[in-house]
Amino acid sequence: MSVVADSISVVAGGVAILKEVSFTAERGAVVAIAGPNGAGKSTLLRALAGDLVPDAGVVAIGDHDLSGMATNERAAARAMLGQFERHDIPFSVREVVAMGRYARRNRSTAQRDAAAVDAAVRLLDLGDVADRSFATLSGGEQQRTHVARVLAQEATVLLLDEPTGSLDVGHQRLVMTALRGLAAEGRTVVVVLHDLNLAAAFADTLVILSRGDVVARGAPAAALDEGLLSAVYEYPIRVVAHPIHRGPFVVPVDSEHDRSG
Amino acid sequence: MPRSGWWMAGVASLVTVVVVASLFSGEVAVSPGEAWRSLVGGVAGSEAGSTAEAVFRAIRLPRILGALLAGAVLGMAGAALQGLYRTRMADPFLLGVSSAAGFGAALAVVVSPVGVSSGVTALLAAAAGVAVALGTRAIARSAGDPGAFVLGGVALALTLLAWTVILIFVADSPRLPTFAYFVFGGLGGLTWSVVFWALPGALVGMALLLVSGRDLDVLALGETAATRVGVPVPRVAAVVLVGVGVGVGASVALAGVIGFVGLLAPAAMRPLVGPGHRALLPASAVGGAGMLVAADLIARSVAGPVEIPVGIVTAAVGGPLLVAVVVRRTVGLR
Amino acid sequence: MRLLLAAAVLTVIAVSCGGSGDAGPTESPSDADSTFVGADGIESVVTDTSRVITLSGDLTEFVYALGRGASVVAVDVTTVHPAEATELPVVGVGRFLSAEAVLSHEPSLVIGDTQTAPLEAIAQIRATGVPVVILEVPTSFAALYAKIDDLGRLLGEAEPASDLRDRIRTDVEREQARVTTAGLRIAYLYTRGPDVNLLFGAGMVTNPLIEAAGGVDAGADAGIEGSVPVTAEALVAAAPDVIIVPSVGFEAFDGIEGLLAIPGVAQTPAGRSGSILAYPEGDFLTFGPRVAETLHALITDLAD
Repeated sequence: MSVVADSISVVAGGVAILKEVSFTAERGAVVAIAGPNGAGKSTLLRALAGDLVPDAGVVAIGDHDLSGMATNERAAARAMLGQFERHDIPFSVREVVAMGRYARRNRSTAQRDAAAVDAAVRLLDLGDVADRSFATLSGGEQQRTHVARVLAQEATVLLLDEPTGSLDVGHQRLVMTALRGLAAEGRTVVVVLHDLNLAAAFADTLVILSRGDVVARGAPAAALDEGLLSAVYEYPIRVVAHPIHRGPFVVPVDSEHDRSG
Repeated sequence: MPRSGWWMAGVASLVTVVVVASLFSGEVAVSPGEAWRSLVGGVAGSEAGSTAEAVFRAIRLPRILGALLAGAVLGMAGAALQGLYRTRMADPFLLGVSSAAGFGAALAVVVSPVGVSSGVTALLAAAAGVAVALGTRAIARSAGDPGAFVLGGVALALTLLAWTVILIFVADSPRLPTFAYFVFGGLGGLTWSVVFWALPGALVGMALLLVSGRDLDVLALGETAATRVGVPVPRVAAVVLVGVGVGVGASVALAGVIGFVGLLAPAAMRPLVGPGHRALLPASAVGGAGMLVAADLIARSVAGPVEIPVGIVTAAVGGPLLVAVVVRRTVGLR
Repeated sequence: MRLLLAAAVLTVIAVSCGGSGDAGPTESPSDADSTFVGADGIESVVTDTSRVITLSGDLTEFVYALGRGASVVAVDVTTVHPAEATELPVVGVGRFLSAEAVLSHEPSLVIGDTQTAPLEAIAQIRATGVPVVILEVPTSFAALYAKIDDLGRLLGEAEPASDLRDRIRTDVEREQARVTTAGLRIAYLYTRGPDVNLLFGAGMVTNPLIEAAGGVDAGADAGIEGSVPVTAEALVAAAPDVIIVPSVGFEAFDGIEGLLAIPGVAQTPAGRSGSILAYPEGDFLTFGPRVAETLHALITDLAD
């Protein structure tokens, strides 16, 4: 199912966070949203999730208006990982992942639930810590647990805000690969990413936001324009060819002075 | 049987011991034989029997049963509030719910011309309790952190106490001991009539809490994440808070305003049965019931024929423990 | 777990249905005299008056005065007279009753008054089958005499009661004839020390005493109902010529100088003339059989 935002605007405290933004993600696609701090990325994702109702415009999943959906309908349609999830959850990792199955509690069996949880745990490399208390885990392990929970929900649309923020290089790749795999199975995946190179490596479409407007949209090679990036991030940026796969590779131009500190 | 099962069996045994000890202590000596005869005689409907049998049936039994019921409700309500608001410091008294129910009960005393109608008391206490319980959600939303939230609740509790004292000034002085029961907690005046009227509220309250067990677990993710996962958070909160209000109303009608049982029972049971509410809620009920019966036993035994109000006993023990909880401020099984 | 809960609920229902209700048992009385309706409107059936507990000092004194002292098995803390009564076990304070404490003496009848509390404890005692008869606290001599008659009927001592009543009435009237200081404004200040200071007004046992001594109850006259914490303004407005305090309060303040230090006292006629009288509260506030003696002492002291 596709998720579509049609010309949505969000205003908060007199400030326009999103200005008539239109956004589409089709099934089978991984769409990355990037941009500087305060651009409105998280707000866009929350609007796509139905967490907030835009002041103008409509958000729909599979042609159904999101604002008209009941809580459990929505939970079946989309799963969302927030930017700041809680750390102080007194349950085991497995139990936390299982919470993602809440919406299906009346329509699923214990076996199905266990299978979904196990699959998510394996996919996110949480096997070693599955029975430990969530609160004792490292930040990265906790983040992966939350991602696993989102996966266990088995919703058709996946919305993730910075799912790799606390993860090491290997686990970053693990998560993004898992998301690519899910997209290949027919899901729709939308991720907010700070890391432009990660986005370039794993996304089909890259959308760049700046100050509430979409300033670039398209395949990474097209969307990652040096001039645009430098202007948007207010920092000299060059886009070069990746030394191995030759795709676009973003390089901030740090001066000698900055680097030696 | 899983480890938590063994622990619960142990706790249940301990509670039974305390209950038996309490049933047989008091100004009037009652022998096990008299106790048995008073129970059997009661079922058969006969009236005859010694003073001891009559005291056991008409005063001791309702008192202990009332303590068990009130303690169970308070323990479970505390666990539910802690789950709903994701803080170890939540407790019906600290959030102002108990004092609200106490005000309702005091209002019932003023409103009843002769004697206290148990029905009116239970009703008004429950109504006031529900109103404030639902109001705690508004306080929770505007407060930034659990500390501020509990502070708001304590402020509310003190305000309601002040209103209750105003009612005392308005009422006749022979009613003073009744008010003392409600304000400081006391099981001294319990009769079967009160237990009867409080029973539905207590059972309904606990039932509403028990059905919310799974939802309370998932709320540990935070309200935003829980909503995303499909939990109808406002509805769950309403069910839990109405359950708390009605249940605490019943407990106040039975035993007056008593604090800290709701704080301590879940704190004691959580290490034994884990954080899952399906086990924690009933376990906290058992723990709370035992605590209140024990506190009542202490209240009756420490100062001769004079009874210390039960609420004072629980505060004396619970206060320092609350300080310990606040100081530690860790969540989870670190 | 559910089975246990169900069993518990069934037990509660069974036992409470089997036990007696909260009001006094109301079996059909075989003898009209043994049914008594108290000041609280509750009808009690009294079949046995051999083991009596009295919950107020005046009630104890009356029972002894009616010749039934031997039946009293326990009293409350306000009982100070007669001497034999003070040797009896004390069940506590009548205003903060413990049902079990009362029942531990196995009474067949408990006599209290409208000050007895809490009402729940009274209900509990009745629930075990022991009758609790509540009488009025009299605030006039007529009510006092009616109370004596009630007690007589209750204990089956109607004749001694009417004798006692007549004797007291004669004594009181004799004392009233001795009054030489009519029209004095007299206020009763209940003080036990700096922390407890109450001014008595209308509806207190001090009203009939003061009026019988020819005086005007200054507190009642100033519009005070019951007892109120004393304020300087209230005292000055009452403007008593004489102030009566309990002996224990007099001693707590080290005599007149200390009492004059209470705000307002020095500004009253009583304060200015130093007209302060003290009597033990067990004597003065017990509106009982010794009321004529109390009146005698008061009228004598007022004449000075």
